Amino acid sequence: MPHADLDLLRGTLDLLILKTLSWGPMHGLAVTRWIDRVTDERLQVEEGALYPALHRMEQRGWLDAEWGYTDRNRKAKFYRLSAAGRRQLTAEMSKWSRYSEAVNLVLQAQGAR
Amino acid sequence: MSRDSDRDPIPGVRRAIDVPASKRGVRRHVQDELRFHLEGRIEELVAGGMSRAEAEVEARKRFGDVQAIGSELESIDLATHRRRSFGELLVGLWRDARYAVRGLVRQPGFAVAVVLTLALSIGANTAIFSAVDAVLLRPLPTPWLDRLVVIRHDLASLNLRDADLSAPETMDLIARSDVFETGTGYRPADYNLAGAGEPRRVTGTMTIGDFFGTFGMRPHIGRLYGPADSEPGRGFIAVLSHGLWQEMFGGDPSAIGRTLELNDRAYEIIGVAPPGVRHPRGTQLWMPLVLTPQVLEQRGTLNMLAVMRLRDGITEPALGHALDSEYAVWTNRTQAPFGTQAANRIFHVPFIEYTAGELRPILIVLMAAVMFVLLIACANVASLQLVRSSGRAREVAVRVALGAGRWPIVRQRLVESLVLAFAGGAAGLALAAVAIRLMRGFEVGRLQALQQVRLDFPVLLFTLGAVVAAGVLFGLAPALRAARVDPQEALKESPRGASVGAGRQRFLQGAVVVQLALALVLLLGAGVAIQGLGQLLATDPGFRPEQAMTMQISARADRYATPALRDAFRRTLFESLRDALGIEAAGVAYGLPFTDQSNSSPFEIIGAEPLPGGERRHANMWFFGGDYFRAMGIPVLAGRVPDERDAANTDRVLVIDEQLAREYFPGQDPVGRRINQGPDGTIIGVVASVKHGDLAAPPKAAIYHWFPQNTWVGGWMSVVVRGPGSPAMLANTARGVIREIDPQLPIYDVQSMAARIEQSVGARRFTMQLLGAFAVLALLLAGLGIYGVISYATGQRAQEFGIRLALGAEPGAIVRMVLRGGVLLAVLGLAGGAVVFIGVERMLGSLLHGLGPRDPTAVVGSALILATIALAACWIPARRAARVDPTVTLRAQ
Repeated sequence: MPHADLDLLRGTLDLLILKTLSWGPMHGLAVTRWIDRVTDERLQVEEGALYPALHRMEQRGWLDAEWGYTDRNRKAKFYRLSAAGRRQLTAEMSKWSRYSEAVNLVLQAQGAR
Repeated sequence: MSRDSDRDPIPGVRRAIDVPASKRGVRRHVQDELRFHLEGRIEELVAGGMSRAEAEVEARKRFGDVQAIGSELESIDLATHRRRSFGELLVGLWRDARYAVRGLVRQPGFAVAVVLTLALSIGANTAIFSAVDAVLLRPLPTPWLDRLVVIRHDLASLNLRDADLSAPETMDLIARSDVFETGTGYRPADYNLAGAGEPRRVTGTMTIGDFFGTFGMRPHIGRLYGPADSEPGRGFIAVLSHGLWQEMFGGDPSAIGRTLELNDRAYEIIGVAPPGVRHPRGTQLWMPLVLTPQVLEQRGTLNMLAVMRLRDGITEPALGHALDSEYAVWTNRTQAPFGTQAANRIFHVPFIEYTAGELRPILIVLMAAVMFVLLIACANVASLQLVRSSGRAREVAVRVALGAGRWPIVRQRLVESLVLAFAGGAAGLALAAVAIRLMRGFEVGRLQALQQVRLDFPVLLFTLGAVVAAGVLFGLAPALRAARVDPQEALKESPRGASVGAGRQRFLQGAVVVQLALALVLLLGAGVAIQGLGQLLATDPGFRPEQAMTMQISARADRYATPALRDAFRRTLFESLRDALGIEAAGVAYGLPFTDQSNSSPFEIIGAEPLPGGERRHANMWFFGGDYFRAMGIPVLAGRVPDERDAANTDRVLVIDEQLAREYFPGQDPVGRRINQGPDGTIIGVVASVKHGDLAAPPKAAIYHWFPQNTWVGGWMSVVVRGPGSPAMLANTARGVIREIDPQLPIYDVQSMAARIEQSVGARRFTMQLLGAFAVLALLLAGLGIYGVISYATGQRAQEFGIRLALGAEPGAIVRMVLRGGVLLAVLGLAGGAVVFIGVERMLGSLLHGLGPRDPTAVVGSALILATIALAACWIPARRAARVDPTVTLRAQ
């Protein structure tokens, strides 16, 4: 795993997880599948990083976790956004858009004087 | 936190049974979660066309190190659970506390009674502990107080016990670096401070050795002097107390380097001591005593309080041995001017014990007393809690029946007790603050130490400890009992509340017996103290304090430099006072009773054999002038007292007291005999013995010297005037006369003799008043306790009484029935208290000396008071029980 951009990755990963779970409670596998599907597998989520991120967000109280059964009657751990998680999602999204706007400004700027 | 998840399950997801968090449970959850993920992935891959084996490898490859990630998840989850369960505990405690407050608000009578009980007892504990702390634990901000010792003299040859050391002896001890790290000696040296306005007197201390170093003090500003400043040839310097600096210079740092005019000599201010340091006896300025060769030769002048700092690891026997060997050196060099009797020695006393003096036993006794009060309060509150909780048995039974565990119930009750304890503690702190203010105002004699009493962090910590201990003490037993409810039994009972089980009844009775016993001990202690003080005040001091007004004056050394000038001043003073309107008799003296003046000296009887073993006759050496004995009201028992005929050029005349006559002239007429204390003189009269500083102490022999024949004596003396007017009028008259003679003369310590005697018993009165107050408090609490328990028990038996009455029982029989129960408890309590007191009394006797032999009135009186209160407390519920209306109580079923 490329350690150098772990921080950036993890920050982004949190945002992706929060946004994904905003559609409803899911277990970890479903989160990766959902991200794969909506990004046409262009954004490969590191599974090894996904679970620690989920557990850490649970610890911070952004996510609530509960054991339940899937449609195929398997026991799985479901995560869903808590109220704090919803607030966090809003904050992260606005931070992300400000960040990407700024990056875009640089990238789209006309040549230097 | 995750509280909302407790309430509604995730919609659309069937809920699985959650396993409680444990290290094992956490591991299983993590493994289940990862296995689910990998299984799901493998199935997905197999569905995509891979073989099962290939899919397993691929899924693991995509995931990464399953082991490492698994253990990372475990540690995250463990932390989460720890945090959550602590959070839940806090939330639970908070919920319990809110529940308790709501319950207490619904029963304000109970809550107020408990909080008041606790406030009084915790307040008393806090106040007394603050005094213990300020006097016995931290009298000075010195880190090594326990290593400071005071070295004292016992001179059996002079009949002199517990005497100061001389300056050279102190210096010899400081040089003993094998046992002492450093040391100092100091003595009082009060000064007339010149300046604007009336001349004033400041409390000074002269020190040798390393005073500030011994106590580990650092300057507030400027510098503090050291041992080198006692060498001859140095300038005159002084260190101010923080208080005097504030008072004189308003806290201006430029005071350093300025000079003070003390006894007409200029002293440079070199520093200011830290705030709060006023040792010894409220000192306002310290200065080094210059160790001239003459001073270092004065081995007979015992005027230094020697305080040494022990080296680390020096044991008690090692110190004793060092002191003995040092004393042997002094004696061998024939430097000990007090004979060589073997019983002469120097010994050590722990510094704190020495400085606390008579306050130490008093505070120990008072601390024990307030702890008794707290115990009574706890027993009282515990029984109140128990009575209250039996009324709530149904509530607990319902909770238990619905599946509540015992621990939450115990916890909830304990929290309730702690809520009560904290409320009581907070109110108690407010009471203690008031009490401490009162104590600080209590400035009598050596009780000056109480001025340092404060409500600071260690005291608050003590209060917190007392609050928690009390809460657990009175809360635990009722809490455990509350949780032991059997739901079946409790729910079957009548809705009026469960009746008290036998165990509960025994607990209540036990609590009452304990309260009564402790109250009796306090009452007896207070009774003994009151009786002791009464006996003391009835003691004849040897003079008539009524109508005698006294003050001290100090004739300045520069204006009254020669004996002739001083003699003339005294003569003028006496004659002017005598002639003043409203003054019947006037005198001056050095050695006024109930002042801190002291002067003891050996004497010889001319023509008598010297005492065996080098022992010497010893007596107080007092000086007097004018009509001193008439002004004081000291009866002349034989011969005459000196008058104008006895001048400087005639034969020296002496007056002795009855004690000296009895001790040294048994069966003889001392008048006409010649004795020598200083130059020879003839005894011309015998006066009554006078208590000098302590009404309880036996009188010490005294020789009175006539001022006109001892003009060398300095200008410091007491003035006594007697007259029919009020003390204030007498004082004003005398002050006016003195001002007319010399307006510059400082007049201070103006007090009637009665006030001086009162001050000498101040410590005893203080003890007695506080013990009395605590005893009354204990009595009140114990009375309330027995009342509460008996009236509760009779309330429970209202039905039974109703049936008895309906069947024709006499109301008197019911009253007797109830009283019998109360009397039994009272008798048990009194017997228990008496037994405890027999043990306590011996301790009390050794702590508060001078209690004196007692007649049994205090004992019998205390027991009677307590028995009366207990009976009265039972009488009210008994009357109520007998007035029960059978139709009402039977219908209530």
